[in-house]
Amino acid sequence: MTLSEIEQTNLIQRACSDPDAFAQLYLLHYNNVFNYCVHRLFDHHHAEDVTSTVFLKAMHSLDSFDGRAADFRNWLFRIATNAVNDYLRDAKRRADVMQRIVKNTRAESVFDISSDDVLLEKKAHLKQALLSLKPKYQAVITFHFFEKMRLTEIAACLDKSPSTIRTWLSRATAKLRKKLSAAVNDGGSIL
Amino acid sequence: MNDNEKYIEEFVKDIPFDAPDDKHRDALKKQLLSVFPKHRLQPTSRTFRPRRIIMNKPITKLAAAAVIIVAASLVVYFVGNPFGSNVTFAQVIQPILNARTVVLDFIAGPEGKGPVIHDIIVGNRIRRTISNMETIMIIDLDSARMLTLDPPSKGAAYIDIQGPLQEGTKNLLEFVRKTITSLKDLPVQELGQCNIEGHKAIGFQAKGPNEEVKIWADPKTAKPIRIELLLQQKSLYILKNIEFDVPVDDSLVSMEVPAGYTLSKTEVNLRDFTEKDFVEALRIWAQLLLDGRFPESINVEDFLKLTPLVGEKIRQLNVSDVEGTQLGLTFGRGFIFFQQLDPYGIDWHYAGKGVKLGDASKAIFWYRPKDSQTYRVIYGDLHVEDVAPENLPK
Repeated sequence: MTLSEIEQTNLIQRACSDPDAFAQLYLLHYNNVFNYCVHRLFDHHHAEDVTSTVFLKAMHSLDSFDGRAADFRNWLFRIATNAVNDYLRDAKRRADVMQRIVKNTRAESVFDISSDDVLLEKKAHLKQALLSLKPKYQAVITFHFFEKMRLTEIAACLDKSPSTIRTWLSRATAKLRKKLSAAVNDGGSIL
Repeated sequence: MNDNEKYIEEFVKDIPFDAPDDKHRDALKKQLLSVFPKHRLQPTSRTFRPRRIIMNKPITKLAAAAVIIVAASLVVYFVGNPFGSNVTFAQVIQPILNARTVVLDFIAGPEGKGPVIHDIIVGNRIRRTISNMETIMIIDLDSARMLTLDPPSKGAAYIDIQGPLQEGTKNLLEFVRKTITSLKDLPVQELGQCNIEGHKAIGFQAKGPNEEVKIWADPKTAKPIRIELLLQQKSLYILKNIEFDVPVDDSLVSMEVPAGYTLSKTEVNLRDFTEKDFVEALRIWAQLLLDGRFPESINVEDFLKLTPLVGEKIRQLNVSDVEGTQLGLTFGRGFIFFQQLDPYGIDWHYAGKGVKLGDASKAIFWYRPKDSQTYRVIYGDLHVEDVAPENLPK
């Protein structure tokens, strides 16, 4: 479904007090939020948990949103980034996530079962490497390489300047490449 | 993209991730709606307190009043001739001046963004429909009356449009003719050939002091098929799919109420429009449609687009028919007041974006009435003050 700018603005404003409008808004953005979460967390169930948190937070703070319709997705992504970071900040949960990476890569996804072994191995390396980076670097990597967002859009999501995001992206890609190369070459732990 | 980015781009390519699960999406939706903040639920008539609008006559039930009235006010106020009166455009003028019937589509604002108004003009009668409304309007310019028909409710009503509305509507017809006839003695730029809606067309462009007109005509018949008018460098109007002398069944422009329709006993008066109407229209817009915030911008196409929503919201208010009709009338009159500003060269400015209804500290709209030295400034709480130009908000 595509809505014009004015229709989206109107929908957002109505969604503050109209459950049907909120439901419509939710359906428009569910996939974007879930995809971002699953790219950050590498786990379907964790991603669903965080997606739930994101929309619950969005619902309760929607009346504080004061931007244009075009800003709404960025606003949701900002909530999602904070929610993912909170999720990962929990050390115990993080350990659980890492354990899943090592032990349960093949079992966690129906899609994975039929995927090429090389891709599964690459995915496992990517998970370990990415999750070992600082959360802000994880976020810019995900936005840039998976959500295919421009620097200005990432900047809007993270409430930073595009030049800051450029710097973060540069550092993040350098670190990630180093870790990935090490993992691929050595086949060992990169933590 | 540097080497590191290329490496990662290549590395992550084709790595599979799970897709969203519809079951979770639907379950979460249900869960969210079950905890939707109750204190924020849509205001009802108990919390919405429309100001009592003084009416000349009591009005009985009139379906979709807001829709009918705003629709009735459309395409008015093409006041005067944008290019003066001492010109002719012989090749193009004849079919227009002599045509008994004209059929056209009218769009306020950029094409594709707003609703399309379809007019069938037969002599001094117009049958008007609008793409986002079901209401049918039949206008008799000689008697300055309009018959409105609401097919869903089978309701009908006569509306008195004497005064500015009649004048403006007449000027629409004159506008089509005068715009064309005015081109001859002005510097006209030829725009060459173009394909318009599947037809070859030749274009002309003329610029007046405050207006700019482009006309596209059939190169074989010299009949205009599309006209674009830019007023005051900001208000764009498009007349398209123009056809002359097409056969029209007279019943389409009959002022008789069709069989099966019930006529409202009371007539509606659309003669007067005031600043107060406009202020109340802003209140209705903010309160009913935007949860207490003023819109990002105000223009004709937004009014057109939102009008059906206003009608729907009024219906949901659970107010009496009389109150609902009054709200619709006020919204429509406020729109007509606003629509008069540009054609009469009145300087206005809107600054309501982001302002909440009730914020007395922020000016949301100001305009300088004709011959006035000061501006009328409307604030977020909708009080109005006279302000000298040097004291206007920056």
